[in-house]
Amino acid sequence: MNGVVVTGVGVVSALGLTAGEHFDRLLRGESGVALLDHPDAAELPSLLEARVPPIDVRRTIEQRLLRKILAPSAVFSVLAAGQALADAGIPPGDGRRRDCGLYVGSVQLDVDFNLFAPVMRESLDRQGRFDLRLFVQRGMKVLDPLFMVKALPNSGLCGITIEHQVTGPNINLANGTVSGLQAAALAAAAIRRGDADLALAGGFDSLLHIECMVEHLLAGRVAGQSDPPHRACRPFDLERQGYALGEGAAFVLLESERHAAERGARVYASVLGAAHTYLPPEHAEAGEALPNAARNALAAGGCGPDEVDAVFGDGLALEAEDLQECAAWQALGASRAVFTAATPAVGFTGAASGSLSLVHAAMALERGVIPPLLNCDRPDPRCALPLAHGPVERECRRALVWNSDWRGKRTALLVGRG
Amino acid sequence: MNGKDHPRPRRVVVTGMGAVTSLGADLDGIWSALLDGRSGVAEIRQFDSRPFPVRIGSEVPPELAGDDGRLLPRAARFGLEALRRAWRDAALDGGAGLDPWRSGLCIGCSSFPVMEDRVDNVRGLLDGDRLHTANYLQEIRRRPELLGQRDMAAVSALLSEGYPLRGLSMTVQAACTSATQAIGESFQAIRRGEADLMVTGGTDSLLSVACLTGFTLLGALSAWQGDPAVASRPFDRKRDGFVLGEGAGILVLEELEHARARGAEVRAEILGYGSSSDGYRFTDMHPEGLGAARCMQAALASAGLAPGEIDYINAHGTSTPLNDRIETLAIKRVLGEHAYEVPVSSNKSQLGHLICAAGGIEMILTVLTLQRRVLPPTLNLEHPDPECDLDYVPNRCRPAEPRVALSNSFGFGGQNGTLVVRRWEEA
Repeated sequence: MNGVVVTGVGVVSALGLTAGEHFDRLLRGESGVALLDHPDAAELPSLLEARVPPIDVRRTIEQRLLRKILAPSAVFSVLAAGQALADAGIPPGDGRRRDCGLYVGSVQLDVDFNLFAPVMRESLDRQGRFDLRLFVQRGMKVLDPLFMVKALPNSGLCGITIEHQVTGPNINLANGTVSGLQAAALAAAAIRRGDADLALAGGFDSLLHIECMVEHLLAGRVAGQSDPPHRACRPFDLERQGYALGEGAAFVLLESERHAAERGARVYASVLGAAHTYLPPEHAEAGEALPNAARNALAAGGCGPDEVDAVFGDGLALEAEDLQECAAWQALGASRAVFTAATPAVGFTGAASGSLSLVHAAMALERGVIPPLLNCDRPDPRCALPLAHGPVERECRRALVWNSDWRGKRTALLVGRG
Repeated sequence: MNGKDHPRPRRVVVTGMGAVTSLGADLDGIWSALLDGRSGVAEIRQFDSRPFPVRIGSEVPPELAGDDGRLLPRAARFGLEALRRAWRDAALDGGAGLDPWRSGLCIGCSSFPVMEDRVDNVRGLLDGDRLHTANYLQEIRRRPELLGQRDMAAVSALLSEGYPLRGLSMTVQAACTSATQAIGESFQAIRRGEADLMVTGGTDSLLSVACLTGFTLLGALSAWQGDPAVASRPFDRKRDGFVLGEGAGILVLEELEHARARGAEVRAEILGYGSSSDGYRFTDMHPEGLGAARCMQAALASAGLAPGEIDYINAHGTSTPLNDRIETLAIKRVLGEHAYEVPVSSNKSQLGHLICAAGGIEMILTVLTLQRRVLPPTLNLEHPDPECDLDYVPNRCRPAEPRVALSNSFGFGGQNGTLVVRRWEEA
């Protein structure tokens, strides 16, 4: 059986445009959360955001047509994937890119609502009613002909294949939050069965557009204004009030252990096992889904619960979700494990969140330091988790990454070193 | 678990199939319609398409598109109905002692907010040329179903409702390759031992004002103005684009011993799966068909078969000038001289292009081709194209004895997928 290792990482987040900068700031306890600044949101209750710093697309994406087509979040994915390749020492023009796999998690991309405003204006009759005939005659003519292509969830994947010439086995999952981590699990399986020696895997998303803001606001999941804003998201804290809306992309380059050894690649960590479960939250046995995924991932990696040094979870600062992570931790019996989560620092990053946690776990194993979970000052007594309140220096041999979707999908992935 | 290193790799078989198409939802009925050369393409009826330059589609009949009162999108309704039929076809009613944690669901589908909803939103929501957010918020509070349409995880979650499927749950969106990739990953999950049973395939409905607009603006659709039934003409010299279809094709895949233990009837065995990307352009295929060829080669390698062992190819065959020429080129690249001996047909000539569901219904029809020993035709192939010079089973079905078949899907954006399936013969 082929072992699978992580040999490259790439991140675009509110904390930085490289994995190195992002992780250093995460370790220092910095946060990318600020007051939401979006022209469409002026009339909404005040919200928080964790926004990716401005990107000079002309300098970072070579192909002109791609710059025209890719939505901002798809650009994140092209950048993060490129970083992971470069980090692993697979430069542009390297023939190994051709057979490199590509496993991506995403969601339907944002089509700017305002794109449709002029179209609709052209399509309304004198009474202000939509008229299909006017729409076809006039409205369609002012619509961006590429609007559908721009919204394709697989546009990030396609952008990566075109920009980086990574054209091996692939899949695009549009499966909510867990998409990015599931993609990594599928990529590892492809390498294990010998379909590829190399595979990029990751996720990207942006929640910073009007439909998402309204959706998360109405669902009561987002933190309101807080002074200072970066203290707002407080997982496992008695004063938890939800998360800030985030965005970003995170990719790993996975590689067969043999291939990595032959070329002397730097190894961050091994991918040892993965598992997935699904039960809707309202199901009577829903509480079993996350511990089952975690147990199965440990079993697949031949690892006992007491060998786990760290759990990289979600920490969404929502009561039900926080309690569920605690219950899973307890059910698992991972008594030595420290728990951490990056949501307070980078916001909720949707389909990117699981792959971001995977990058954190890989970098933590390589550097021997677990990044902190911010802002839990008054722990909820029902949440008896050993939280990483500051960076925890510890030689980690096994780390579990888990990720849940609000619809009840869960993925767990075990990484190790040594 | 690893298929290659394991002494006895787990075998993956098809034990159930269900479909919803423009030619009905009964498999026997769909099959005989295909063999009779009937087409499901007609004038679009679900909205007034008359102002549009393209007015035809391959639409699911109203009696199969009924709503159960839950205001579900059409694709969800088709998926639920096809799943119900596949589940029953696999004799799984009553649960059949499944371990739910080792049973999963992986579905290809797409989701686009329909333009009419946008209109309802935008009317009265304009503030100059921008959105009036407060009004929008009010509108959403009134019609919360407008939210969450971009979350395709909802589709796989919804389809699982009421079924004992608690393992791997995924929605795949890889444009026209979605269902093939969903089936491929389900096959791999069973082969490597992560699941014993997977419900898979695709469901889609892009027959909406928004998507008819989108595809029209891209120039992808056939502008045929005559009889709608002859608009989709894969591999014909006068082909001029695809015909938008809708529907669902859902399969139950199972590990062989698992199927045997519960006495399930096996329809076919999946032998391999391959995928690749063109890395070329968003809307054009690689001019030499390199991506498509590498995908078929990967599928053959996964199945452990030589090109000479392929007896039939269920083509992507969209009826666009580019796809059919490049697919032909790619088939020749992979099969060499043998390509001229392998019949190739495109169901899109009769069902249109089901986009994210295409690979699901086409896999079902490939299995029926193997089971029933008849090759479905490529309809409307009247004008030979010198660049499409293979045996496309033109216009009439043909008795044959195919044992091993490929099913191809090549997506927008350059994602490719190929499945390898073999007729079931009890050893």
